[in-house]
Amino acid sequence: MAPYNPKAKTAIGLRLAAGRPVAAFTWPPFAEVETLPEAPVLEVRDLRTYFHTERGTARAVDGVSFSVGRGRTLAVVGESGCGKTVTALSILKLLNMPPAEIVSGQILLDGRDLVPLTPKEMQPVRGGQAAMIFQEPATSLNPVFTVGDQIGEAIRMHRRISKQDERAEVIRLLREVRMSEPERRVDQYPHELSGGMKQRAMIAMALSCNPKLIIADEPTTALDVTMQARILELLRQMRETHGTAVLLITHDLGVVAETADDVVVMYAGRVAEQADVRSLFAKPLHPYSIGLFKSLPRVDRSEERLQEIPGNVPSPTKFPSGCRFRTRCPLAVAKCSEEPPLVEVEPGHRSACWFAADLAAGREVNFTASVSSQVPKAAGLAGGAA
Amino acid sequence: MSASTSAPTSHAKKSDTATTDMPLLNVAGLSKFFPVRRGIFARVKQWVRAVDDVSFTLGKGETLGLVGESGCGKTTVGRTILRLTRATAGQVMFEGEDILQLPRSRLHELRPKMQIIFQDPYGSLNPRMTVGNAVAEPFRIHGDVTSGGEPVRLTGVQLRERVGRLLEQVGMPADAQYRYPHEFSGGQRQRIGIARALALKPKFIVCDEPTSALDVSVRAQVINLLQDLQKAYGLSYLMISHDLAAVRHISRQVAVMYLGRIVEQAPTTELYDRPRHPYTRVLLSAIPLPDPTKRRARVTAADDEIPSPINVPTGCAFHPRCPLYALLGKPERCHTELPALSPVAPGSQHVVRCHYHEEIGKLG
Ligand SMILES: Nc1ncnc2c1ncn2[C@@H]1O[C@H](COP(=O)(O)OP(=O)(O)OP(=O)(O)O)[C@@H](O)[C@H]1O
Ligand SMILES: Nc1ncnc2c1ncn2[C@@H]1O[C@H](COP(=O)(O)OP(=O)(O)OP(=O)(O)O)[C@@H](O)[C@H]1O
Ligand code: SF4
Ligand SMILES: [Mg+2]
Ligand SMILES: [Mg+2]
Repeated sequence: MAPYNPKAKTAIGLRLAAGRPVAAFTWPPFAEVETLPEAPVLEVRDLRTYFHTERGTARAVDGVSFSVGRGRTLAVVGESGCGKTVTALSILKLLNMPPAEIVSGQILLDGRDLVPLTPKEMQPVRGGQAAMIFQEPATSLNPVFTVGDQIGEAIRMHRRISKQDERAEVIRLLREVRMSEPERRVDQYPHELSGGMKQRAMIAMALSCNPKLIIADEPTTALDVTMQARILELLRQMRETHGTAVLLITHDLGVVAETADDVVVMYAGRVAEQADVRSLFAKPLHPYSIGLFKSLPRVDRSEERLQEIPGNVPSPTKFPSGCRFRTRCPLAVAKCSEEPPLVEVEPGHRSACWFAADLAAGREVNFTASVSSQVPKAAGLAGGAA
Repeated sequence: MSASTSAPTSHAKKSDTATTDMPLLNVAGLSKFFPVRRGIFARVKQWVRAVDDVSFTLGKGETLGLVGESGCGKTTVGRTILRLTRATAGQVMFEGEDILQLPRSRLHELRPKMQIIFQDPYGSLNPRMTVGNAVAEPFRIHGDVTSGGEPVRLTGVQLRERVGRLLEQVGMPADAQYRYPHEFSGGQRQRIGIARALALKPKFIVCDEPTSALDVSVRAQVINLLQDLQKAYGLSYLMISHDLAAVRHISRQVAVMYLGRIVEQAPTTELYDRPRHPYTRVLLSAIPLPDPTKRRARVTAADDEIPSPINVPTGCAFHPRCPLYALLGKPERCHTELPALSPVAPGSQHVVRCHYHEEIGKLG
């Protein structure tokens, strides 16, 4: 998120591909010069994607902006239905239009706006400059072709290559994604691979054209923790060795903490909060994010009771006016029926809440109402006798 | 609760809820092998050792967590205990009766006391049945057996009131019974499933991944609900999950499975804070912590793939992936001799199936 990033002020030109300043070479403070931040690989500005349905217009993505720099990972988090996937699919224009419509906004990939491009013009972008990895590797691989055929095809789409070189290239890619026995795997069919291996094959395919941007939509949700750890490690390496920018969609805050540089928290089609990963986890400044953190069971400590955010995410055809979180928010007051702007509360840390400044000053948020508070405390389940 | 292959009945330990001497559930030597057939008429050539000699006990009002990678046999343990799948061997004593040996009629009588909640809140409710009919289904099958006497047939207003109260107990409005499942969110459907499981006042519930399909905030709602119901009614849970954080939160004891066998079991805090099995170490260190200041070094397992339960490795089944085995220079015992599930210290409730668990500190 280069434009909002306070860290952009670094010693001249001394940045690693990963975007971190090289400590050993940092010039003394007096030599520090304000440099123009590197142009982001992806910049999304005020994106609005609506679905026109029988039940009305679903404003699934409604004014979302963010950017991802070279070699950086931006995580988009939020509950089911908040618009994460629709955002990703809008970027690569993979939605059926209609019913979907990009109502407004710009999607700048390396400075070029993708919104006005025709399907034909989009083709070289997909699987060229930008690649996507989906949650269900099983459904995105074709069962009747071998892994080698499919990765090979992805390579051929973007460059001319001899049959022999193609095979060697596929094996090299499989090795790069740490697939065991790549020489054998190349001739296997998807059903012969485990979930984690299929996901690696998908990543190999995504890498085949050396993309500048990888969009990964819940890439590890269908996998075990051990396999998840490996896939995340792999994405981290890709980013460091090739400088790939990664847009990572997930609802797992552990995954975010471990892999992201910057985070966008979405709620009901809008950005609730945006910050670098450390500030967000150290001090969330939106009641929704605060609720998410409080409701998280922790593997590294025991606690008595989890807090709950009462209620459910509203349906996209029936979003409340004003702040969309107000129906579930313990801080909500009359003012919240006006829409709060996304403001920078602390450097690089933005929140769309009328009380953001109070929260920054230490105001507490307590989610007390509990769905199960109605459980009768006396013993005996509902029954004739009880 | 305790687990050991040799003496499964040993100690029903002190607990803060009132327990009698006899645990509610005592599982001993439970095994389930599925035949692998090639072609319809072919003879069985191989077996999937889905569950292999699993033993544990569960007291009244307690929760045992069962964790492990996909395919290690967790669901099969739950299903064989409830006799939804026929066990190959073993004993499942529920309040003194062996579930696996009971005649069908007696099993039918016991069914109301043992329930299961499924992972998929979408698939487990019939889309064409109203929520009310779904929750009332147990009453239709068994009658109302909750008064302890003869089953009573519930109808009309009586049934609707009863279903309404069950729904309220899980935090849903009573009039939800007149609507259809698709009108509810995942978390709400999971609560409907819980209401149905509670209908006949069970004593024991197998929760098979009850929160895996749910979002963070909804997951907290369901976990809290399960805990409140447990406190109010003294329910016992077998909590099957690969969500190790949720399991830590809700369980008193946790058992870790690997390729059909329990490899470690201990009181919850002990297991999470002082794991002794290399596999448990690998599992725990793979979980990303929601704290960016704690990006950790991992204890990783060798080899990408979990060996299949058809060809279980010899000796300790974990040896091909075990980081401790590699570190110790591949000691012969690990690939020749099956380690016993034994206490880490004499009399300890913490049991582990590893020849070299005392060397675990070497993994750093
Ligand atoms: N084809 C469609 N027609 C109508 N509405 C749609 C369509 N696709 C998505 N939506 C709606 O858009 C909203 C956002 O959906 P999206 O898939 O982006 O959510 P998500 O944040 O990715 O959730 P999840 O975590 O469940 O994947 C949802 O409410 C969804 O119902
Ligand atoms: N009906 C069946 N026939 C043959 N094999 C089976 C059957 N049911 C389960 N298995 C096998 O038994 C093993 C254990 O399966 P099980 O479903 O119990 O695992 P699990 O630990 O619940 O996994 P998950 O976390 O993926 O739900 C797997 O290898 C599975 O393929
Ligand atoms: S018995 Fe050997 S191979 Fe098995 S877990 Fe222990 S050290 Fe590893
Ligand atoms: Mg999605
Ligand atoms: Mg299962």
